[in-house]
Amino acid sequence: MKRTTIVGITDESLIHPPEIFAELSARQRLAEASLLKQQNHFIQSNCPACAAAKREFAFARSGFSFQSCQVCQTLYMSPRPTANMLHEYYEQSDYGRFIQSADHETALAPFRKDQARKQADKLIPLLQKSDHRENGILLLAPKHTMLAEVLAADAITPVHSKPAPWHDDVDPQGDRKYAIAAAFDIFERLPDPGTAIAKVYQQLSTNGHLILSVRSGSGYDLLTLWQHSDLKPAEHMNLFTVEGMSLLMERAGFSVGELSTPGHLDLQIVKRIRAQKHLKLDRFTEYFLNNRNDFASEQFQGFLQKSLLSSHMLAVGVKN
Amino acid sequence: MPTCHTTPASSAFSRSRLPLRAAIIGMGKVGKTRARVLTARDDVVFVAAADIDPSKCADFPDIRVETDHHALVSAPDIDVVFVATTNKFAPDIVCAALEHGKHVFCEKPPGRTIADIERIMAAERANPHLKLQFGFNHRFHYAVMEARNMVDSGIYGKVLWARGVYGKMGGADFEQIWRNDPEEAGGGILLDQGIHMLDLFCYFLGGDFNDIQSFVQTMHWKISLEDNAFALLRTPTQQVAMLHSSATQWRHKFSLELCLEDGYINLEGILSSTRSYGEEILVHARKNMTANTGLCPAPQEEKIFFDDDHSWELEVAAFLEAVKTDTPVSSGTSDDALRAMRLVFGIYAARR
Repeated sequence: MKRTTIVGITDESLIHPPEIFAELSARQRLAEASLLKQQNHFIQSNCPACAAAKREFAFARSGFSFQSCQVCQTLYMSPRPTANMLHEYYEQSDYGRFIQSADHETALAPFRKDQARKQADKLIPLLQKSDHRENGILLLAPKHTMLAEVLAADAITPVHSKPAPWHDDVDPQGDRKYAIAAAFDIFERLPDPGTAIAKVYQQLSTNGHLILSVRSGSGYDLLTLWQHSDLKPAEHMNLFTVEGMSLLMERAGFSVGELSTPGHLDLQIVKRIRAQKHLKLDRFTEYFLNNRNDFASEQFQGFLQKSLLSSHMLAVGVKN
Repeated sequence: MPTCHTTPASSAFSRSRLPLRAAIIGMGKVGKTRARVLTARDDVVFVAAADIDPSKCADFPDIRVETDHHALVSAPDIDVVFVATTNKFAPDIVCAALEHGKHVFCEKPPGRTIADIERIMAAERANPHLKLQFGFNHRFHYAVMEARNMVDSGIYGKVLWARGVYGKMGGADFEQIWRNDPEEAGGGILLDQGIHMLDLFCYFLGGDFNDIQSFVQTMHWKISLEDNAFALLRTPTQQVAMLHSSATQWRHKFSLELCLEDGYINLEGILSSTRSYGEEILVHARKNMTANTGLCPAPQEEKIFFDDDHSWELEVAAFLEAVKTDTPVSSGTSDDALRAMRLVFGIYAARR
């Protein structure tokens, strides 16, 4: 097993550009409200990681209920919207159109370009050492991405999934097998991750790799802020703990090759939301934030990464 | 100088016979490690061992124990022989085992001189149906394998230079152990431990180093062999590798830095049974020419921690796979061993 950490902090403003963040949040809240009007038609869900039914209520956020799995502690929304409702949220709402707009793309371009290069640097060595490298990469992505452009520049042409992350039907080309499947920031949004990962497993070659990243349910910022965290409920329906992610992969038949939490933002997010919402947090966090400098924050973030306690998770599964 | 017979041996091994039957010559620390690996496998049975001190085999009560290796290298019921003796005896045993039709796995170094590995290779050539592998297990550490994948993938371009430090502190009995006896060992810390780093230089830089400069000294320990070696090596394509091999590294250290055209890959620490070389970490980053943090932009590094060391298991698995499938040995070949030995003795010869 290996674990990855990142040395050198990314500023949150690159990921949440302040010039559009407020507008984005306002539109997103309207889309959520529209979704919530249909809550009588939401569906109940067991734990998306381990399928256990035993759970306890965790918190409500913007009217959406989150449960905590009593087996793997994964946090998940239940009841939850259907795929059709999510389609409306992502594609037809004002918010959905905004996140696909040129303004939004431009504001995020510097971060996305850097992120795509790093993702490509992870995928290419995996592909090159594959016995089935000619089978290429299945890129599970909501639409055309910067990552696809970077890979294409390196003469690697990935194959996209259907252009919507909320559909569990991931393959556009039937029986084709792939050397690698990549799903960056997708599985937390899927209405049925268990079904999706089983389909990905079927579509990989023997010894094929699934590499995915998700918002983690066992990260410091979420565990500290809990109901005050900056969740977007409809986009973070499945908040896997590292233990839950391991179970999800193993249930689908994968052996886990890597579980890491290389997130950069826990401390920055806690600081921002604490200030915005005038929160008084636990004694340790308050003391730390009041009395320690940025260097200590960076060291603490490094500790969280190494101890699998950061809020962004990277997992690699190998098809047996 | 002992010589090997180069008459092809008729193999006692029938490829249909599985599991294979293995013997280990030399049951010191490394021999016991190999024994534990063998006993965990189901395609090979550890049936016999030889050591001048038979009590070293006490952990393995079900095996046949000999004090003279000759009885095992000629035994018809042995298919593969693992050689884990001192450097003085390894070449003769390897040659004898090949001569008797055994596949051979031999720990590094492959003897005390270049002549030793050359005569082993003569025996190998005379028995082309047999497999011969040398124990350069560092190639099977997960960090090393990951680094090799990165280099091979080309994401950071060509390797420009390498800088390796491999050092240990010796120990309370360092002056008495066989590794510092010129008769038994043939060389000091460079031949004993530095050879791993030289092998990795070859593994990552690919080329043969033909330009060597060095300091080789006995700085601290009361031994007649070197306890420190510093070397600069250059390939015909101008790649440079810098080595410090030390027995005065008071805290154990393994560090291999690879500078490539578009980034870097550093290996920091390497897992061992005692964890004395620290964690096994691969650090890599793409070069960052955008000055976003002043005049000296620091690239964002990815650090990969490897929690397990299965290098011994993977190395033996690769060897046995070559035996079972009659395919060429892929790592730790006699060519690899010869190249590493030429570097060791090139460094000795170039000392100032």
